[in-house]
Amino acid sequence: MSAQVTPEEVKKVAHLGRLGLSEEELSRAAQQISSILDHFSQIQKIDTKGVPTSDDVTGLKNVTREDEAKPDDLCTAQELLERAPETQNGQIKVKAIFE
Amino acid sequence: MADPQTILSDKKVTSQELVEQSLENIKAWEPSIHAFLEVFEEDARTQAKQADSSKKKKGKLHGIPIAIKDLIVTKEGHTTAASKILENFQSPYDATVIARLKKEGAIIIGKANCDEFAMGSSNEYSAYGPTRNPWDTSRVPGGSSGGTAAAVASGESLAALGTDTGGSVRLPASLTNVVGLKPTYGRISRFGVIQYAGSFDQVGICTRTVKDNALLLEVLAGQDEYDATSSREPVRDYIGVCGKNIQDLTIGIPKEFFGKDVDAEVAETVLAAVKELEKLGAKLQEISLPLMYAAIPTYYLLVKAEVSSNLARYDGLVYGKLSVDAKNLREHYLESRAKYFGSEVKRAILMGSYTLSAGYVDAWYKQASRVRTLIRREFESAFKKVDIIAGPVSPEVAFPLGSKADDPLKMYLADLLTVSQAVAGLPAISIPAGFASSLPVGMQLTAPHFREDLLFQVGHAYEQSQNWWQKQPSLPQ
Repeated sequence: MSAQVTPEEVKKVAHLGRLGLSEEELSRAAQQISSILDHFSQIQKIDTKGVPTSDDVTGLKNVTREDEAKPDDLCTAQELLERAPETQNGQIKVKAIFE
Repeated sequence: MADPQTILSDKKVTSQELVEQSLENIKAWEPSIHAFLEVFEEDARTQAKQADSSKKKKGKLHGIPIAIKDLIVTKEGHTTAASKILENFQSPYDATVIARLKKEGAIIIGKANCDEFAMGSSNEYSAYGPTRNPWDTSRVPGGSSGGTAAAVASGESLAALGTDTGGSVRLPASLTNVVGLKPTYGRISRFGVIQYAGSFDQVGICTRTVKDNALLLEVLAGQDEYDATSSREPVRDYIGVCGKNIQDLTIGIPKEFFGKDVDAEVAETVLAAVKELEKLGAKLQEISLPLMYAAIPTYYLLVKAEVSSNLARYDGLVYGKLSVDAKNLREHYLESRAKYFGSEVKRAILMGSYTLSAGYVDAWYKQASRVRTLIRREFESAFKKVDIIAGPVSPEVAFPLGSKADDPLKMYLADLLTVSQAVAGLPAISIPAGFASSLPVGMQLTAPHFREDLLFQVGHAYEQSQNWWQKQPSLPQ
């Protein structure tokens, strides 16, 4: 797999990652990432046929608890809401989504 | 010079004396090293007074001042992750590790500087200025938990918590002559620890001595209902094994850990330390871990992918007020994240997202995850032949500020010797092992899963035979 990342491809992921970068930043990022991935491309030479991905790193299974409300021993919902700049009726108020 | 103060000590000293000593050292050292982002001076004094006047000891850490990496949430002060995007964030709750420290009577003295969102190996990527190495302030202390290690090395704090995702506690510990532990993945709760990469992160512990480190692990380890990845594995008697001889142990020396990528003087210093282990009775055995060379690409591909997802929550809205000029919500997101994230963070999000995207995910992310499985298996085989593995922590001694900061790949390679343990979820510790060109060198010990007791047993035996921990840096003129 080629390690060359184009500024166009960077622009696409920058938008997905909600990063409003300038053309200059995008082009510099493309260069840096291409250079890094070029160095990392050596792992593609390693034979991993039949080797599973490491999705499970703990060996734990089905860690669940009862679906019941717990007392506010850590903090209240109100305290969390206070961290947002504007709230209304227990919800965070944001700018318009549609123009 | 008197021996540096430790938590476990025969000296009769009050909490107020310990806190005053910390605050005095903070005042003396901070202008040169900038290890702290916030110091809770008045709060600490009040708590110390309370600790001394109470008739009963609250717990194992009664009245002991401890510093906390600013990646771990505390009700006290702010938690910024050394980023501008969290400049005004005050957590309404304590992380589990903080709650456990407080339950044992510890006093949180302040928040330590680090690389932004734990991404870095030198503490130069902090949005609030770098931390400098107390042993030579023109050099880095290592990262990402640079503030954590520098605070302990300079005597500003008796102990400090950091986080270690790929070496972020072990590396700074080795560059500053303190003990730095990364526990087994799942040993310590990650609840309240701002995530870098969820399948690698662990809270790490920095102390002057091995026994102090063992004490802190006893306090912090153990299953937490708030962290579904925390283990039910019983907590061992970590302090009890300090003092046991190491004659029945076999220590593996991987030839790849002493190869051409490691500075000759560093390799020599660590080999001398390993020979000392042999004099103490352990058996040495050369082993080979050929996948060690795949560890950096494997690690970085996985952690940058994970973090690109973990950082999505920072929308400039819910974690404190930020000044943003935007007409609508989308612009608000684009603007806040571009303005308030540092360049390494942005690079991580871009590269991570790219390697997860359709058409690329199999060759990059999934391939790295498959190689991760191979690396885990390689360690498993090694531990059938040896009890623990020894080697250096860092390929070189503390490097000058600015020498790698403009070259991301160069910076990543500082982690050459510490990422594979995190890839495999293994516990590893950095122990002071001497000096090269007058700068600290650490020896790294790696053990099988949940065998931190072996790290303490061997680490303590070595420490007591050499006493490097007694050496302290001098205040710059």
